[in-house]
Amino acid sequence: MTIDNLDDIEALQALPSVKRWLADVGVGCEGHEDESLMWAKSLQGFCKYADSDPDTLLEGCFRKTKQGDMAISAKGRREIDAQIDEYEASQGLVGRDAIVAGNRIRSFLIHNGVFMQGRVAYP
Amino acid sequence: MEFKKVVGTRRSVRWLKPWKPVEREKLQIMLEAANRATRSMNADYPRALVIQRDELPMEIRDALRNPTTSAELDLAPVYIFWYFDVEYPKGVQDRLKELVAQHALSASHGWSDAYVDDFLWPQVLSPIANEPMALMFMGAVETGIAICNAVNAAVDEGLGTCLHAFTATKEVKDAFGVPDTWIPVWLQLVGYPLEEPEAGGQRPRKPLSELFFEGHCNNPWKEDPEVTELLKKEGMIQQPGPFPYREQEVKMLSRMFGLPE
Repeated sequence: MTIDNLDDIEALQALPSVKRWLADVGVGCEGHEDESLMWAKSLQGFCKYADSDPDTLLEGCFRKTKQGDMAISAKGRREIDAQIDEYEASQGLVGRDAIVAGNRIRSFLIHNGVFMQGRVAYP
Repeated sequence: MEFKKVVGTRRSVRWLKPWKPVEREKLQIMLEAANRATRSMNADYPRALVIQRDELPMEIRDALRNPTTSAELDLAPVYIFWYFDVEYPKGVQDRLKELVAQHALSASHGWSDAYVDDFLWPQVLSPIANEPMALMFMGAVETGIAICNAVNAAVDEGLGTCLHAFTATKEVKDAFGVPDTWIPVWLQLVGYPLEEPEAGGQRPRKPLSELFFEGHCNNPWKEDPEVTELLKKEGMIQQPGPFPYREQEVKMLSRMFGLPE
């Protein structure tokens, strides 16, 4: 599913992949609207940077095998992982702030089946 | 810790205190446990390279990162690179004769120096040494057994540990002088657990009756409920997850390190 206007945060939050993510991290339910918006805006910012919508980002992390099964694309995952770091740097974030913000976007991918790990920000 | 409790308490621990070093004596205990593991032919299969995380050049730590092992590399203070040496058959003839000399292998069971020298070595072991599949199979199996002892020793010492895919083998080889004959097996990450000892509860296992058999493969092993109860009491069988606090525990730990939630 794609959305036409990345500025439309409600449309972005209504995507099943985004809803699943927000529910999994515990901010998708009533009473967590502000947190939910904050998480969604993080993803929205990256989508704008990557000029892509959430589901297209996900598609780039998968590939079809010769047998027609879905598999994770190592290349696609590696590229988006690097792009997340580039995006956070472009926002002027460094150190722990950059890692935390980047890992929030990785969280969207992870909760939609893209196995990946983020860097550790030492407390 | 009692043996049964060690076995029952072992988990793959992925949350480790990155700031707390592991005492060298505890690492030695792990290595000695590996060295004391059962091993066919009394051959020296395993090799281990112990590296402190903070002494590992960052470019090698980065090279070791893969999708399933990235955060743990930053959390674990100690890395143990496990290998086996494909040259393990060398010296086996003498090692077996040592066992004959100390009557561990005795005539009562058919053993003699003559058997080792004239039959076992030339007709059985030497061909295995020249058969790559057998060489690799035995090396991997026997080293896995040794690693298991090291894992359980770590638990006994109050450490957390987990085995990981061993990538970047060339970088590690070049940086630390790993011989050409060493074959990578596992990367063991070691440290003090940051999570509760339950680590989410004992991992689910199928009942013995689905995996083990008695007398015939159509006769599943029947558990004695009294023994099962004893094992629960002594800690080999522990409470499985999910624990009510676990989700919150993981969330808090994730936030501590800025990891994805």
